[in-house]
Amino acid sequence: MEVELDGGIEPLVGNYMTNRRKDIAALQEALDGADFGRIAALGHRMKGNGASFGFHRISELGVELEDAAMGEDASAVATALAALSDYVDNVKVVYR
Amino acid sequence: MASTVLSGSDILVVDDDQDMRALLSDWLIRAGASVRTAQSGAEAIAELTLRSPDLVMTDLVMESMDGLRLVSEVHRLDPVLPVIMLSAHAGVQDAMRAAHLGVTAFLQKPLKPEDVVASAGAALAASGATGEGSDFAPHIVARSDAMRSLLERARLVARSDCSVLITGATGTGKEVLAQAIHTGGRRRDQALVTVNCSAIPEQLLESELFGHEKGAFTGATSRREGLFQAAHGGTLFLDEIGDMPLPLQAKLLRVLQDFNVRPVGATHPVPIDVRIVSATHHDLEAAVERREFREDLYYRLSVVPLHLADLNDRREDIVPLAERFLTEFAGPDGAGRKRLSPDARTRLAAANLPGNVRQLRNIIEQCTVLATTDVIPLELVDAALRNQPAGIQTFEEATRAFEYRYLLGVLRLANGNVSHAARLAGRNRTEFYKLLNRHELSPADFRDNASEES
Repeated sequence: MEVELDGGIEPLVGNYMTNRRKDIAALQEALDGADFGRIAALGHRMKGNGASFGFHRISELGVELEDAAMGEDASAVATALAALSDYVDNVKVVYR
Repeated sequence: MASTVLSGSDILVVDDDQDMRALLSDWLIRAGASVRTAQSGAEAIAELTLRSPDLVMTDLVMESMDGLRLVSEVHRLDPVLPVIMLSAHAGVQDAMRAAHLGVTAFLQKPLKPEDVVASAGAALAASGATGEGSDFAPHIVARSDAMRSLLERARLVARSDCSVLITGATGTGKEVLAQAIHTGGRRRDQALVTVNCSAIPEQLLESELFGHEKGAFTGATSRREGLFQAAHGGTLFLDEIGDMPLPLQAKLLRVLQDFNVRPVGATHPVPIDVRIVSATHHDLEAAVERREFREDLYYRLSVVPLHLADLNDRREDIVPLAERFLTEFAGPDGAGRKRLSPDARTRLAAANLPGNVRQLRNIIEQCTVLATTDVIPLELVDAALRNQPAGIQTFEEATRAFEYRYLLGVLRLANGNVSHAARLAGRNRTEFYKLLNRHELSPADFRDNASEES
């Protein structure tokens, strides 16, 4: 799992990943509380920021989270959340 | 990506996502801009109040105040400040609404740095361009500071699709300004459709604006397209909007929210793409307070308000306007063009002209006709000023004008069918024919091929 990013934004990426970890915790909490509105909002935000940074997979998972939350589909949210967690833990960033 | 394309510009970035604020700032700073950020609409307004930036770049979906509301607030503070809207999910309607609110560009997330910088550069170039005023409305006389600054604002708003409300007393040239805004914008090659909301009877206005289906009501013998559809792709000029009846104001508001029109009797709405320019001589804010005009509609229409000052308050324009009219009333090659004597000119420049540009035009026309030499003497101007107290129609003239416009509306609605038209007007056929004869109107002129009277 490797992603190549613009070297100019390197100082921002550490913070970006920290915020996604916070999102993962917030998503888990929202899932436990069946707060689908919160999940949709977090998914929507990742849909916009992921690929803008160069993390296209995060945008894809943002879409999945938003769609699953709109349909109040807890199991689909859990699947997307697990995939997001796995991606954030394992992605390797290379700067060009 | 280091460049200086945005060098010297001050950009306010508004997004409730801290990562997007950081990323956008990074891209813009590397392109030479100076960047301020705000994490909410309220914070952005506070920043704007402190110091106006050259450009605002805002997210659409934000908690508490969304991007569209922020644009309205921004333009209340500075009507010509360019705004770029960003969104991870934008429907066509959002984009349309944004365009009508004066948004310069709409960028879809995920964003690319080159698109963001190019868009910002284009918006800054368009708003900061100077010295282009001369090609905007060259036919409008603007010697006074009041008119010059008004035309500058009009020139800038003409380039956007935002809704403009022109206010000013009767005869100040509201329709001329509306035409200039249409001609100065990207819709210039499409139609400019004008509707005088006070001239069309209330019961006809809805079908005039939105159209109707065949059989929608008595007299609707064929389907008819409304003025909104006729203006599709172009501009709809709603003159005398202050006279629009309240029930219709609600329907107009719905159209401006959804950009769909529903012809009378139709089951499906029709999408429309029009720019709205409206005008009134009424004080609409006072009308809103008296609950005669809907507040929500007022805000939709007056994204950018433009006020035409009375001619008495911009006297520098009087003589240049008089000169313009003298040329207009001369022959095609300028033959027989009259001149004002120096004292006639001084008299005009100091005259009380409550009827505004229209009154001045009438005076010059009268003087041109009556002058026996090439020079218009003071006495003629004095006499014309006495004969033109305020450019107000007599009661008889006003009644006749109303009757004429009313008959036009009814005949149009009835497709020239006299029986239907008479019924709509609550008159018998004989009386109705008398009215038509008095105004030299022919029902045949209002028939289309699909609905000939059999």
